[in-house]
Amino acid sequence: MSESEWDKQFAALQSLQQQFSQEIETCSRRQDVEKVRINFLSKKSVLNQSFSLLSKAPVEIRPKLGNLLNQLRTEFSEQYKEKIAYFTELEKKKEDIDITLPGVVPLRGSRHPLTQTLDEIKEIFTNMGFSVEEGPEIENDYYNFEALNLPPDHPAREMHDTFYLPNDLLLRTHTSPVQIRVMEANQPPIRMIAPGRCYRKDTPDASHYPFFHQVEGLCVDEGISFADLKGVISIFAKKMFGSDVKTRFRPSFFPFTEPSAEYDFSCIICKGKGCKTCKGTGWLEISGAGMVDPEVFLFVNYDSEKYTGYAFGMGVERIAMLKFGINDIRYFFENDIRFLAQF
Amino acid sequence: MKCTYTWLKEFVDFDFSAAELAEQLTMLGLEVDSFSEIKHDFHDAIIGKIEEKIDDQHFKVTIGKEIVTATSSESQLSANQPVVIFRRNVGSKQYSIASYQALGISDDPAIIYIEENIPLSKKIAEIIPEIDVVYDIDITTNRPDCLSIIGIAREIATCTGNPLRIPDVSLIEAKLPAAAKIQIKILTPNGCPRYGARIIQDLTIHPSPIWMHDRLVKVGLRAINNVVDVTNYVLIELGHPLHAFDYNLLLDHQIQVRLSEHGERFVTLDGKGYTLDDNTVLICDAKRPVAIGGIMGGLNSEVKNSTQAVLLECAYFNPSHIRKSSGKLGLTTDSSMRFCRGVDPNGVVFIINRAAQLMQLTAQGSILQGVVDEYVQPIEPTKITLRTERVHNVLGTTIAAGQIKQILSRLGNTVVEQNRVPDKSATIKKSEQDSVIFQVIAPTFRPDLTREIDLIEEIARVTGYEVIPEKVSTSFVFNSRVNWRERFLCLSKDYWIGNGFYEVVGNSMIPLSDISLKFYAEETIQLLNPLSEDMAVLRPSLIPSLLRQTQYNLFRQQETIRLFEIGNIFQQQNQTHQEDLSLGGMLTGFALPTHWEHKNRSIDFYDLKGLLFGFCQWFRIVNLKIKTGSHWALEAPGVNLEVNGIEIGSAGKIKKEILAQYDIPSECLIFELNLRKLFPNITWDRQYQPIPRFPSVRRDLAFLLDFEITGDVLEKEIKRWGGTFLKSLNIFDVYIGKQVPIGKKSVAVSLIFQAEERTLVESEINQIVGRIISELKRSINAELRS
Repeated sequence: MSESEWDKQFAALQSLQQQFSQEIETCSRRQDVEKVRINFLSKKSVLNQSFSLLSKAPVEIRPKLGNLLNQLRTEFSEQYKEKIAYFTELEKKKEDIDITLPGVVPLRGSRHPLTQTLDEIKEIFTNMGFSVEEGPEIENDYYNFEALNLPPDHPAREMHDTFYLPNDLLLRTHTSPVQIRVMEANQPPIRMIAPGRCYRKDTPDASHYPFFHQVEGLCVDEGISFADLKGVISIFAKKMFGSDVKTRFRPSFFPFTEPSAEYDFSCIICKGKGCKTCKGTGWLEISGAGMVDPEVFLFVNYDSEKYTGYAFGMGVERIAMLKFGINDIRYFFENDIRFLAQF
Repeated sequence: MKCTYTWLKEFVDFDFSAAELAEQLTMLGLEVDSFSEIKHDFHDAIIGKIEEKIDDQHFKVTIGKEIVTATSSESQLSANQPVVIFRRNVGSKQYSIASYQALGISDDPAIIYIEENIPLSKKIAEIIPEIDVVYDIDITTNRPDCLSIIGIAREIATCTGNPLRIPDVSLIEAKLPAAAKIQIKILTPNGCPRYGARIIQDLTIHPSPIWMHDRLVKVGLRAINNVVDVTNYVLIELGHPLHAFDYNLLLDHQIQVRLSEHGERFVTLDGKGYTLDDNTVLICDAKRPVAIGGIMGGLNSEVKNSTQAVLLECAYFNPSHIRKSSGKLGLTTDSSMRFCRGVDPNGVVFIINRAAQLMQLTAQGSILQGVVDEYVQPIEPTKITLRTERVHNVLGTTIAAGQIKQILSRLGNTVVEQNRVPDKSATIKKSEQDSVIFQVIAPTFRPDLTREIDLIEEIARVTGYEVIPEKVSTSFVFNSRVNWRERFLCLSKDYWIGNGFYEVVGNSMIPLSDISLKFYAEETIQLLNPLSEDMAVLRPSLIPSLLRQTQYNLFRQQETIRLFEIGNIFQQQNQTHQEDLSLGGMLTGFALPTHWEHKNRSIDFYDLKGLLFGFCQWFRIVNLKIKTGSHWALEAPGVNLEVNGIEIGSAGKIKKEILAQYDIPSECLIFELNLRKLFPNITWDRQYQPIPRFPSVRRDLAFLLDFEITGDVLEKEIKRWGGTFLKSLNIFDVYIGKQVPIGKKSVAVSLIFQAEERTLVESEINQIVGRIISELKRSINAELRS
C-alpha cells in the first residue's frame, strides 16, 4: 500500500468512529444497541477485520495504527456497555412503581340514602318474622279511608290532605291500605310490614314534601297485646339507633287503632339530655301506633273477639334524617350527586 | 286549642309547674305543641275615676284618698268615668291613663274600659294575673270535649284525683217567661236535634271587663263587646258554640230551623255573601234566615252597640250535616269545627245558663224566665259493657278493677259493677284479680266513647302507657316467605350501583308543561287538585325525572353522570289506570374512570347495550332481543328490548330536541325497562353444569364483509356451520378504513371449540373452520382475510 492509501485507511477508521457514535446515540431500544454491537464489535466487524492490517503495515505506521485500533475498540465497547447499562437502568425504572400515584378507581354509584334506611328497616323486621308486602300507590277511597274506619265525613280525614285523581281514585296518603289488602287475602296470623311511597298535599319545606315513604307494620294473632307492640318498637329502636335508645309511648288518636299512641325515641343526639334536635325535650317524635281498631277487623271479616293485633307506622325520611343527620327533607329528592355520593 | 294556666286553675287544683303541666297533658294524649309564659308589667296600674278635665291631654283622676294628674291622648273622657292609670316610669309621679295596648293586654289602642262597681285604687294585678302561661294544645279529632277549658281541666282532675269545679250557674230571672216572647220551631230535627234559647232584656252594650278581655286575647280571640265576648268566652270555657241575636231584629219574634232552598242567598256577619244548596241548616225568623246553623250568624241580626235585648241561643247540630255544609261553603269557623266533631247535646241548658249569667254580669239586663228548649228526640247516653279480662288481654298488663272504676268515674262515666267472677284468663298469671264486668254509661260530652275498646283506651291513657311492659315475643311465625320481587329489586340495585350508577328518587308528579306529556296525550293521569302546575301529572315514564336530575347535576359541574331509579310510572288505559314498576337509567360523560395512565372516551351505544345485556344475564333472562323501534325521546333508530317476543323496554340516545327541552348540553343515553313484564322472565333456579374436562381450542378469523351485513347475521351464519363443538364466538374487532374497500368492512371473530369427552384434534377443527369459511363465502359473500 502506498502512503496515500494508508492515509485513506486512517480516514476510514476515523469515519468509523463517527458512524459508531452516531448509531449508538440514536438507539432507542436494547435490540438496537445489540445491532450496533454486531456491526462494530463482532469478529466480522470492520474494526476487528482491520486488525489484520497491522501485519501488513510498515513499521513506522504500525504503532500509530495499532494505537488507533485499540483505542477504537476500547471506546466502542465502553460506549456499548454504557448504553446497555442505560437500558438496563431504564427498564428497571420502568418496572418500578410509584405506589403513591392514583390507581384506576372504578366508576362508583350508591344506593339512595332512603333505600339504605329502608333496607335496614326491612332487615330488622324480617328478622323478627315480618313479611314485606306491597300495594298500589293509586288507591280508592275504600282502602285508603273507609276500611280503615275513616268514613266519608270523619273529622280525622282533615289530617290527610289528599291528592285526588279522576274516576274516584286518589294517591294513597299512607301505606295502611296494604294492611287491608293483605288481611282480605289472608287469615291470621299476620306479621307484615308495608313500605312504600305516599302522598299528601303539603307544600315543600324543610320537613314536608308532597310525597314521602312510609313503612306500615301489622301483626294480628290470638293473644296479641299492646305489650307486644311496645316490645317490637323497642327492639326496632335499639337495632336502628343503638342499644341505649329508649322508647316512649304517648296516647294519641288514629281512627284505625285503639288504643292509639305516638311513639318517641330518646334523643340519639344528646342521649335524652335535651338538645336542638329534640327541642330540649330529650325525646324524638317518631310516628304513630296502636292496637288495631275492632272496626277495621269488621271490614276484613276477622273475629275481633278472637284476634287482636297491633299496627304501627314510621316515616323512612324521618328515620333517615335522624340516622344521617340531614336537616332538610328536600335533599332526598334533589338527587344531587354530591349528596348521594356521601352515602 | 289555646288555654291558660290560671284559667285551668279556676276549674281544678294542681301543683304542676308550667313545664310539668305541659308534660302531664302530653302524656294524657293532649299534646302540648308549645307553651309560653306571658308576663305583664302593669307599672303599678290601679283603678281611678276622672274627676275633671284639665285640658285635652290632662285629667284630674281620683284614686280614692288622693287626686292625681294623668295624661291621655284620648280627649273624649268624661267626668266620673272609671279608668286605669299607671306610672310611666318606675317610681315616677307622672301618671297616664292606660289603653289596652299601653299595658300590653292587647293591641287595642282604646282606653281600658272599667265597670262602675270596681273599687278605686284596686290594683290591675289583682284583676289580671301578672304571670300566666299559654298552652297551645293539639287536640285530636276524637276529643271535641277538650276543645274547652273545662275539658282539659277534667283531664287534670282525672289524673290528679282533685275535684273538677263546675261553675255554679244559678240565675236571677225576671218574672216574665221567655216563652212568651219567642217561639222556636225545628223543621229539620235531623240537622238540628236541639235548639235552646234565652232572652235577656235591657242590657247595655259596652266593652267587656278587663279580665275577660285579657283571657280572650290570650287564647287568640279578639274582644268585641260584652255580649259577643261572652259567647266567645263560654265557647272557650265550656267548648259549646253559642250565638247572640239582636232580639228586636228577629221578625215576629220567631225562630224557625229549616233547610235552605237551592240557590238561597245569605250574608254572614263578616259581610260575605253565600249561595246555599238545598241542605244547609238555616236559623230563620218569621221571614228570612238570620244564621247558618252551627257555622256563622248573619249580618242582619248582629248585636250592635244599639242592641237592647238579645236572644241567646245554644243548639246541637248533627256533626256530619255541619261538616258537609261547612265543606261546601268553604267556611270553617271555631263553631263549625266544634259541631263537626261533636258537642254535648245534653249540655245545652247548662251552657246557655252560664252565658246568661256572664252576660248579666257584664251587660246587666234582666234574664227572662226559663230556657225555651226544643229537643224533639233526646239523645241518650251510650251504655257500654266492659270486661276487665278484655282490658288485660288488649293491654297485656293487669289493671285493678277498682282503679278501672275510679278512672272511668273521674272521666264522667257512670260505672256500675255487674258481675264478678274468678279470672280464668291464662294470660294473666298469679293475678288475684277477679274478672269483673262493668256497665258503663258514657257521658254525652264524650261522643268518642261508644265501645268497650274506647273505654280500654281511656284506662290505658290515664294509667299511662309506661305501665305496659315491653314484651318480646318468642313465638315463631311462619309467614315470612321469600319475597322474590324484593330480592330482584335488591339485586338489580346492586348491579347498577356496581356499574357506577347512583340511585335517585324522582318526583312522581311532573309539570303540566313537561314535553313528554305531548307523546302520551290521553294516557296520562292528571291530579284533580295538584299542589302546583309543576307537580300536576303522574309521570308516565321515569325519563322526564331522570333528565331533570341530569340537568340539575350537569349544571353543578358534574361531567360523568350515571343515574338509575326504580319507581312506579302511571298511565291511563281504556278507562282503567296502569301502575307499573319501572327501571330507568341515564348515562352521560366518560365511559371509563379517568386515569393518568390511559386515554378516556365518551360513552356510546355499545356501553349501554352491554350494560343492559349484562343486566339480563345477571338474572338469567334468556331470549333477550334487541330491535330497532321508535320512542319519543330517542334518536332514530331507537332500540326496543324484547324478551320472548314481549317488549320490555327501550334504550338509546336522547334526541337533540328533547335534550334542548330539558336544557341539557351533553349527549345522554337512556333506558327504561318495565319490571312488571321483565320479572316473569327471570330464572331463579340454578342447575349445575359440569365443567369441561378437556381443553378448548381458539381460532381467530377475519372476514371481509359487505358493509350491510350486520353482526347478528354473521353470528347466526357461523353458528349454523360451526357444529356442536363450537362453544362460543366473539366479535373482537370491526374495522373500516385503509386496506378495506369502500362498501366493505373487516370483522374479526374468535371461535372456541370444545368437545365434552375428548381433546379435539387439529384436523377436525381445520375441517370445521374450512366449512365455515366456504359456507360464509357462499351465503353472505364473506371473504376470509389473510
